[in-house]
Amino acid sequence: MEIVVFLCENSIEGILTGVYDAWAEALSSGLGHARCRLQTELLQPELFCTYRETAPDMEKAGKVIRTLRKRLGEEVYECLCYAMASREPDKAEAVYKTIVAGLSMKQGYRVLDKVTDPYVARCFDLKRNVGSEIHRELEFLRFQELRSGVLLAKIHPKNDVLMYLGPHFSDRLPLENFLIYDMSRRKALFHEKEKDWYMMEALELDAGKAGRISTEEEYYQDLFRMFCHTIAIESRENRALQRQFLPLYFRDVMPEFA
Amino acid sequence: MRRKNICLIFIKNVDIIEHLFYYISMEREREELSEEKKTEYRTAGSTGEDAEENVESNIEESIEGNIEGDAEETAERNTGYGCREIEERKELPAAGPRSGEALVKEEGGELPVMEKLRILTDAAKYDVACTSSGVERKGSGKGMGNTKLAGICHSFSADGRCISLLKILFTNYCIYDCKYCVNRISNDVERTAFTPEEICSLTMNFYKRNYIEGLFLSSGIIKNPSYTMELIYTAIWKLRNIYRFEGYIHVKAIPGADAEIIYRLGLLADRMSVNLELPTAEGLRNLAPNKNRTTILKPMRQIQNGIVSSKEEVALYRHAPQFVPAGQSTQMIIGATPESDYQIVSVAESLYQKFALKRVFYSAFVRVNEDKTLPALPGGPPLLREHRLYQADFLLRYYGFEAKELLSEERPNFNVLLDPKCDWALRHLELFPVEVNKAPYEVLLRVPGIGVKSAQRIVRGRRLSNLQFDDLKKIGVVLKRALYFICCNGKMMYRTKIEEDYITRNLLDTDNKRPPQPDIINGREVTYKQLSLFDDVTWTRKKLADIR
Repeated sequence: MEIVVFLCENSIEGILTGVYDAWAEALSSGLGHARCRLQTELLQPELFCTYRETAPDMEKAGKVIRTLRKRLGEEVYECLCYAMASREPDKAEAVYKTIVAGLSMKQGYRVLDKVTDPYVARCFDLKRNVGSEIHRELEFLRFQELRSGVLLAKIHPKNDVLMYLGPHFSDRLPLENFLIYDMSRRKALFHEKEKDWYMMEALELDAGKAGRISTEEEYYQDLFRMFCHTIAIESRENRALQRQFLPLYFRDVMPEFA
Repeated sequence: MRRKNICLIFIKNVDIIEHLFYYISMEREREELSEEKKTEYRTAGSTGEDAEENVESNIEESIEGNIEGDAEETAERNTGYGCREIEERKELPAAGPRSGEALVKEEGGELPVMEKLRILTDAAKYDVACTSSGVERKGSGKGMGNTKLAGICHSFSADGRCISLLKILFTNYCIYDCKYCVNRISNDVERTAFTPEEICSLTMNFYKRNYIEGLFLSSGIIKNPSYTMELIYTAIWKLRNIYRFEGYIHVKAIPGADAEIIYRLGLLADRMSVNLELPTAEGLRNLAPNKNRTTILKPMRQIQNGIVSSKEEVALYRHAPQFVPAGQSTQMIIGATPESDYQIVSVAESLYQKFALKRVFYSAFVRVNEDKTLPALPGGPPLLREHRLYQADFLLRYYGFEAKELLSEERPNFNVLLDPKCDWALRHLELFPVEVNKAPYEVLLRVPGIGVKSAQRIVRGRRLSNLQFDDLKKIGVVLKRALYFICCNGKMMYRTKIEEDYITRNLLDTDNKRPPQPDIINGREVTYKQLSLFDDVTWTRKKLADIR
């Protein structure tokens, strides 16, 4: 039996376009969903598989999104979006098969309760992983004030979570100009004072401009470093516990550990 | 006399000296009083045993009696304040801080902010609560900040505690002499005070850089509680109205302050807390001579009533001002006084039930002062005990346990080796194993290894399909602990015995994830053992003779 593998772009639109195409193929050719697969990258070609590339198409993705929100509800849709931001290679397949499972149910909004379905369980895992990384970025991201008054934060998340930081920080700092830069994906999230936020891809950070911090910046970094140092109770010291909550991975951008 | 001189060296402000003299005269009176009391005690309790019994019954009374009794009393006294009288004063906050600048004498204004922050952080670090949870609020778009329901921790200090709020004291000048406190008046420490501007700019600049989630402001007592609260109010008012800060603010309500100012402050803050300090009134009398249980419970009751009436108002008028929307909390010191865990948990339970507190925090006693009334702690602060209390606290709040289920008069302290939930389950093996696919939610919650989230997922998941152990693992159940207490479709995960000793032994053996399995040959359990001539000690002369 031959399996058709759809290769899609590694983005929400890309994956959802892939879902649309795979769905059409499964129905029209009579293969069924069991013999369609979705991948974001071609790691190692397998035997007895035909590979088809799909180009991201906003119209197709939009149709899928509308269906998902209507039939599965916002909660499931959010879960799928989180899962699609994951760095794991099998995310597209998990999302695709979860959608299949959800749309085949009468009460589609309950699809996440189907813990016995391996794809749903995987989707839930991915969502949990991405969700916890988003939360950690909200916790440990640090802004630096540049001489121009712009706040700059550099992050290097493992999953593609940049987009999910936008609503939180623009609600929190509506009167600030800020910029969050994802160093590993070379993407940036901009927010202009009293305006909405937007994202740009394939950007290089101007090291010269980004390095020019405001005169107050170092002073406040020193103050906070001293605060963090002083607030600890010596007789309770527990570095292992500190590492458990705040892994070393995040500390390179945090001034209190500089 | 020596002690008083030391204090004077550090105080340059005349105003402070004035109320220091006031304090000294008070102290003298109190010393005389306590002398009298001591002699009274001696004459009253002629035998040592009697006196001990007295103390014991006092403690008992103070758990039940004090909380209930004082609460009733304060409730009666407070009903007038709780809502009605305050309604009339609602205009006050809009009028701005009363003579705010005049109140702040800028004590210690000559120190740089860096030094002040160091001193006042150092003085505040023994306060426990550093949470920013309990209220979800979007930004208005005109200021800075919002709050998240779950709260956000922004960093973790070297002791593993979270840094969520800028936790500082307004000042560490204090007229009180609580024996456990680093800021007590008889201590020779550097004293200083922030100005409201300094607090505001620190908060705003830290918040902007995503260092903190908000402000936690407490203070030593200058002059009197109301005066101190007025200072705190000035700072918070500025922060909210001039600097337009919309993040999280946690302030301490100081017992003994005017109800009116506590109300005004509550409209600006997200959370308020009144420190219970020590679990029983007896302990408080011994270690904090200037405080007493009644004055502590009074503002607690007032805040509770305020929260209730504010919620009713908000239900009616959506834009009515919210009073302490994130609820109130309290904290007590563990291990400074001889209370048992049972007493402490009972106090916490009655606080949750009768005062509708959001959280009770426990702080392992750290010996910062040398004082003969304080216990020596050769092993450091009682951290494990604190941990067990927090575990029990969560069982009370989220798992439907009652204090008397966890502990009793006969077993007043927690098991050192096992967490309270395992400990409870081992004492109630008649209820186990529980069938995961059928047991009600409340029963699932009581299984060690199943938490609130996994119990919810089990209940939702089993509607759609029958659950197996593999599924439980994916759901997030800790099978290492749960396997002794659950079965899926009538089968347990491994061959285990429902026996207290057996389960305890296996739970404590952290290296093995599964219990040792017996060998089965031809369907029969075989137990074998290395044969040794020296093991068997039942050989007696008589037996030997018989064999011969």
